[in-house]
Amino acid sequence: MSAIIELRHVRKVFGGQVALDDVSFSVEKGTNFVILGASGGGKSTLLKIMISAVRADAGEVILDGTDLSTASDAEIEDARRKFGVLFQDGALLNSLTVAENVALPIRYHTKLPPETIDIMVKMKLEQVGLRNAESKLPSQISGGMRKRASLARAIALDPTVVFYDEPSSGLDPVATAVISDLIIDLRSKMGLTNVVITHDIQSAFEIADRIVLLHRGRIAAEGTMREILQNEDPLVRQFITGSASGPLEVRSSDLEYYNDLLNL
Amino acid sequence: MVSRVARTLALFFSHAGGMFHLFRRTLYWVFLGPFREKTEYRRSVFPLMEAIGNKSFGIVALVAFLIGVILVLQTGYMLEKFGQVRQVSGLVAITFARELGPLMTAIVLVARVGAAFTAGLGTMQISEEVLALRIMSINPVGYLVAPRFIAILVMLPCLTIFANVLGMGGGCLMGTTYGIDPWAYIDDSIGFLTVADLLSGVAKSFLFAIVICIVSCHMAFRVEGGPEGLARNTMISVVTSLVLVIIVDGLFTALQRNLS
Repeated sequence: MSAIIELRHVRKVFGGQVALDDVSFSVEKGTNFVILGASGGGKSTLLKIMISAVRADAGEVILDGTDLSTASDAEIEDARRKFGVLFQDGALLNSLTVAENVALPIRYHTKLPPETIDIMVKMKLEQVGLRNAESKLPSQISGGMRKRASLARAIALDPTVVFYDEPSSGLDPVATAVISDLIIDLRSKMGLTNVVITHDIQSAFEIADRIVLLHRGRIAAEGTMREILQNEDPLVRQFITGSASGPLEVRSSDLEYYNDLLNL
Repeated sequence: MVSRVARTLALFFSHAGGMFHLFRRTLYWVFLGPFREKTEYRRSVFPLMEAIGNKSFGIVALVAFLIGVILVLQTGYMLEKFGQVRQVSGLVAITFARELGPLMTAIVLVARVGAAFTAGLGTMQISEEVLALRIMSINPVGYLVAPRFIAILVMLPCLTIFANVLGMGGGCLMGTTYGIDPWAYIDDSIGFLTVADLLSGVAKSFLFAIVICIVSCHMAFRVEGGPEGLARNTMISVVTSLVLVIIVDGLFTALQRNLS
C-alpha cells in the first residue's frame, strides 16, 4: 500500500509556544489512522495543518502528492477537493437545512441538475442514517445527528480522505458507537482513508488500524493497536489506563506550587 | 508608552489593511466573480434584501418622520419671529435630501444591520462554519460577504429616499400647526429642492452602505476567543461604522463644496 498522507518533521510555533515539534508519520491509503492525545497536546493544530487551514512553520505535509506547506492557493484548493472534514461541532451552516448543507458542496463543484443533486443528497443521508431529518435545520437536531449530517456533507463529493475532529466529543455512548461504526463502514464500503483525531481511547481502539500518540506537540508512541497496548512507556500506559497520576501531569508539582505561593 | 502607541498603530493599520483587502475581494466577487466562479447570488441576495430593506423600513420611517416633526418644531418658531415660517419647508427638504436622510438611515442601519452582520458572521467564525466553507473550496467572501454587499448597496439608497419623503411628511404635518397649508408646503419643498440635492444624498448613501458592510464583515472575520470576542467585535464594529460614516459624510460634503 502507498502513503496518501505524509508528514515530515512538521513544526509549528504559536506566540513563542511550540505547538508541534518534529512530527513525522505517514498514513497508508484505505486505512483508519487515529491521532490520540490529551487536551493541549497539539492534536487540533496538527489537524488544521493537515487540512491546510494553517501552514506549518517547518517540515513537509504531503497529501496525495501535493506538498501543502509549499503549495500555491490554487493547488491547495485542488487538494481540498480530495478530502472532507467532520468538524468537532459539525460546523453545519445554521441557515440551511440538513439536505441543503449536504447539497452545498455538490452544487458548488459540479454542474449536475437539481434532481440529480437531490438523489445524491438522499443517498448520502441514507448512508449516515439521516434521511428522515433532511428538511430539519441544524438547531432542530441532536448533537449526534449534527455530526452524522456533517459526515454526510464531508463525503458528498466522494473524497479519498476524511478527517474527523473529536468525533465522539459530547456524545452519549450509543451515539459514539454509531459514529465509530460509520467510520469503519466508510472505509470498508467506499475504500476511504480515515484520519481521526480523538482523546477517546475506547473508540480509538475500535476504529484504528494505526495509532499515533501525541504529547506536548511530539509523537510519544506510534504503532498498531496491539503495539500500543504492549507499549511499556509510562506515558502511554497512563493514557491507556486513564490514571490521574503519571508523567501526564494535569496539576503542577508541589515544588512549583510552593514556589508560586512564595513568589520564588 | 511608546510600545503602547506602536501596538495601537500596528492594530490600526492591520484593521485598515484588512478592510481594504476585504473591499477589494468583495468588488472582485460582485463584479467579476459571477462570470469566473460559481456564485448563488440569486438564491441569497433577495432574502438579505428583505431582511435589510423591508424589515428596516418601519424603524427608518418612524425615525425620519419624527425628525421631520422635530426639525419644524425647533426651527418654525424662530422663522415665525421673522415672518418667514413658510421657508421651513425648504429648510426641511434640503436638510433631509442632502444630510439627514442618508446620515440618519445609515445610523439606523449601522445599529440594525451592521451589528447583525458582525454577530451573525462572527458566530459562524466561532462555530467553524467559515472554516468549513474554506475547506469545501467555497470562498467565504463570495458566499457570505458579496451577497450582503449587493443587498445593502441596493437597499440603503432606497431606504434613504423613503426617509427623505417621510421626513418631509413629518415636517408637513408639523407645518400645519404654524398655519402652513399642506399643499403649499409640498409645492415649496419641490420648488426648493434640486436634482443635485437629491443625487448628492443618494450618492452618500452608496458610500455609507460600503462602509457598513465592509466594517461589519471585517470585524466578524476577526472574531477570536468565543462569545466574549464576539461581543467585543460587535461593539467595535458598530462604533467604527458610526465614526467612519460621519467621517465619510464630512469628506464627501467638503469635496462637494469645493467642486461646486
